[in-house]
Amino acid sequence: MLSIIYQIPMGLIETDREGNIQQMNARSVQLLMPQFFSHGLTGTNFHQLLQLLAPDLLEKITHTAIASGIVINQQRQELLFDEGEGTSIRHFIFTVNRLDANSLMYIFDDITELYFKEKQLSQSLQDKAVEQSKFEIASGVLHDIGNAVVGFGAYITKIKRITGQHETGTLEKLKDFFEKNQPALAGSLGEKKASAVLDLLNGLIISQYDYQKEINQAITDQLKIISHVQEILTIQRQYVVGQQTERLPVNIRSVINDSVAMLFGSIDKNQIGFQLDAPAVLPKIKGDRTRLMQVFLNLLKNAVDAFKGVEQPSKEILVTIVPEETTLTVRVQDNGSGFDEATAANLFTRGYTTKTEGTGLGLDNCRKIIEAHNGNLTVTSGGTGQGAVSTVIFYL
Amino acid sequence: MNPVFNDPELLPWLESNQEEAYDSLPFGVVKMNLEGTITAYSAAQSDFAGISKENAIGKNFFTQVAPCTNNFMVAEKYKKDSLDESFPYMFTYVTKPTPVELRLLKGDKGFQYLLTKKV
Repeated sequence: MLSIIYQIPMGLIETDREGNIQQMNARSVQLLMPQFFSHGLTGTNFHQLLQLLAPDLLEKITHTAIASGIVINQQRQELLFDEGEGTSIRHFIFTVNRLDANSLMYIFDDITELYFKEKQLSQSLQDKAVEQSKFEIASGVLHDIGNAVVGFGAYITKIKRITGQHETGTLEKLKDFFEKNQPALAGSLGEKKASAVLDLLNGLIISQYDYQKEINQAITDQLKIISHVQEILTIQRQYVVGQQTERLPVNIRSVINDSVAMLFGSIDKNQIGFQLDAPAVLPKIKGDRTRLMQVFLNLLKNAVDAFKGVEQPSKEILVTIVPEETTLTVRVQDNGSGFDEATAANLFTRGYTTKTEGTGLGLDNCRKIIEAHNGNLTVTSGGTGQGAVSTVIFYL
Repeated sequence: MNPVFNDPELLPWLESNQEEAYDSLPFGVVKMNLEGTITAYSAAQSDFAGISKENAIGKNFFTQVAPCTNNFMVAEKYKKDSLDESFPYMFTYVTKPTPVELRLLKGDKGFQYLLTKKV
């Protein structure tokens, strides 16, 4: 038994109440003997060494009221150790047991390596938490900016409507009235003044037309900027990836509604009709709402873009949500430009795009997100000019 | 005539004599190769430590036979190319602390020595 105690890999020292060493094992000699001698001690009294290295610990031990039992239990202690060519702080862990009135048992070990590994792990967890919160902040900021941009876009559209109402029609009517009644006007004001009134009205009308044109152009430019910002936000959202977020129940109808709100400016500008066809009660999808919004925003934007450069009397986007026993299917259908077979083959290729300003990151990323939500995404078209359908099926 | 513990010519004597001669010395002798593996273990050392020659030879002195010496004060000193140092130490011969004097020797013949004298 003694030879086992001698060999165990932690320090064991038995002392009397004054600290005189009665027994000690190899590990305790290995750890402490150099400290005894570097402090000019003979190595026969442990309390002499503790007084120098850990006086607070010694104080607790020598002044304890405990007659028998654990006096110190797994207390971590920093000790300034002589390492031969300098000093260093070592981290020890101590348990002290009062065996009887005259005997103390010290059990200890050097846990410096463990201490630094714990610190590294703690730092690593902290760094990860900071990164996670950065991503969450970034995601939140993108979302909030997106909402603000939508609001701004809606406001600009409203301004466009209001300025359109203050059209020159009223002035035109007034001019027409004076022209029809010019003889009477000339009779009241005289030829020259009557003519001057008509010229003034004409000037006002022209000036109003020019002003209107400028305003419309400015509004169009603003809407283009808003659309561009929305595209940037969409792309940036795709880079806020790689973070595991908690999967919460997501209301797909709410996701669609929010996505449509963000594209309201484009939908209105292009005079596209939008319809959502979904039952009142829908099963919720467990997932990441932000990622799912990226997907549906992308699909809806593709539908809106399908009308660019297309002149047709009726532009429609229809979104249907169909719940079934084991699936929830969302379809985004447009009657826009559609695409041919060659384009169909490359749709999900990363980097492929048919848009002059796009980056081609959309559908590939969208598919991955949907697959991560236990679903799949397909995009089909009857051919050029025959519209397209994006179908997302979630497997419940 | 056998050398004494602090004889300045002790190293050449150890290197030129057979290991059986170590048993006649009044102090303990451990002979190791440069990796610390014991190649000779004197009778006096065996008495001090309570470990037989057969159980010591072939084992690593610092990690298996006397782990209490595995620190910068003893084991690390053998990293020097040559060595002749003496100092007081505490051995625990199966938990009983025993003050000793150690002498560490190392020459250029590929062996190193640890000598132990009880004080």
